[in-house]
Amino acid sequence: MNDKIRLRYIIQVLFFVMVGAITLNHSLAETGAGISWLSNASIHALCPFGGVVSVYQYFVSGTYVQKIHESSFILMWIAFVLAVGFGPVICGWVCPLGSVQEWVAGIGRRIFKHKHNNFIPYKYDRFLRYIRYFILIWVIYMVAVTSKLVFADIDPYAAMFHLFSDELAAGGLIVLAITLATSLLVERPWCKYACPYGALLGISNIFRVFKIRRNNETCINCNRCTDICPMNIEVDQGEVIRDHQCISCLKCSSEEACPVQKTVGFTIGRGGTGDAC
Amino acid sequence: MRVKSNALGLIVLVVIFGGIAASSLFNMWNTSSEKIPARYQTGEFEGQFDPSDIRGSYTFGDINNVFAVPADTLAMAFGVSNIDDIDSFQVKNLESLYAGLKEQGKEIGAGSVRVFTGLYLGLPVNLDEEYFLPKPAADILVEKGNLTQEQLGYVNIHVVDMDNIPGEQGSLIEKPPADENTQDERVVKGTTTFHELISWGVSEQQVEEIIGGKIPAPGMTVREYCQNNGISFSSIKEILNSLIKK
Ligand code: SF4
Ligand code: SF4
Repeated sequence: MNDKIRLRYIIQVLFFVMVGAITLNHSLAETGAGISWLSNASIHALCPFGGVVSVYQYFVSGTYVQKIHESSFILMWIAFVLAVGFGPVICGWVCPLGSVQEWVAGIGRRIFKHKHNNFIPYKYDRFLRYIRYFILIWVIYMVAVTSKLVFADIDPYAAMFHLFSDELAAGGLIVLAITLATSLLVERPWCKYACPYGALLGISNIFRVFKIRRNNETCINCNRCTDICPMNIEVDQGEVIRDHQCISCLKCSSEEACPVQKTVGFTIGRGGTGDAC
Repeated sequence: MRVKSNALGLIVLVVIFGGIAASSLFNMWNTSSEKIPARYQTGEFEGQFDPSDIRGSYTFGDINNVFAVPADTLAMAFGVSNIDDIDSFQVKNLESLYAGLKEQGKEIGAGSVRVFTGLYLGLPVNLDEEYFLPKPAADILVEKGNLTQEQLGYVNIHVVDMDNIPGEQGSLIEKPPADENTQDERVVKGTTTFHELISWGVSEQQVEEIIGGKIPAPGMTVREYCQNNGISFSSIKEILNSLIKK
């Protein structure tokens, strides 16, 4: 792991520990044993997707969906600002559920070597990747109709941080277990096929200001960018990545996988070259 | 222009924590609910808070703040006692308190509080078949005399006698005293309402002279009144105790 990519790992660990500590403190606070200097926000208060599903109710009646607070709205806007500039960086750098899947996939890679993340034939896989948009539409519709966080009962993200809480939902726990088990075979299965929030942020790949670009002139067609991409995007086949599945992890870039300097990069304007910042 | 991963990492941190810091500065970073329920959208009560939106996380204190139903009245209605801070009692805790009722296919929980609050205030509320009211809650509603025939019918069918509540949960539930002790229980305490005082033989006029004003509602507790009006409850309590016909 080189220095640059280590920073992503550090940020992932930071957010995982932070969200874990805060939500644990939430459970402790309910029993009167909370730590006073640490926030005791609930997991729903720290989830930007809660803001997304509340938008309809907020504009219709000026209230939030149950368990959602202003903080979810603020995080939603922060994530949107980041997505407009850089795509779904929240997925690639921040989301604890995405991080955990990556860490479990590390074990899967050791077991299955090159077969890992290549079990499902591409001709089927590319269609399966759109399932998450149906889930997104279903969740937004159901929350608008019921004013309840219907998704919370099957949400693996909430389940992961409710493991030691009486709010743990059996459905969420089952989905979490399936997600972690399949992470041994596939990189980020939840993100790829099911996450409604990932689906929404994924749309930003079409118009994000900074895009992953590959410079055809310096590319030596080694395919390493494609091989390393956790989301199976064929980086070597195009010059600009607009795929809705990209999570802006920069693994394909010349900083990590691509062996030729300034060939794959996160840029405005053509090619992987350009002044770095 | 190219963004390298170090810069991207830094941007992510600055935007997230900067956004949170900026919103905190403007008092917009709230991770817990302000407890503002939905309002009626149409009809006679348009614009008023709708008790149907009372959620499990609401405390008796929240309901007092929003709907002006005294926390002590709620505590008495739902038989909650033996806790230090009635205001912070969360409505969702009623479910575990009355868990023993589930065996009988009955439930006292947030839905019961929604119904009680709506009927107490004379506001339209969905008479949820699933939920029941403890006897003291039903008594308070009947005494208020605001109920329509339909509501009265509902209350009569959906009432649970406190003596018939099985299970361990009794520690926080205040059950009505047995008949032979009734006389001894005639002591003004935090949960004593004006209605009880009058039924113990203190006249309305006497009470109003002592508290220095009109009784706002028979179901209101004396302590609540004193708190609202900056009067010392302990001194009032002693005077009232001396007037109670033992
Ligand atoms: S796709 Fe969903 S689960 Fe995956 S990283 Fe993004 S938000 Fe998290
Ligand atoms: S294309 Fe590059 S930045 Fe996007 S997900 Fe794949 S490896 Fe990460």
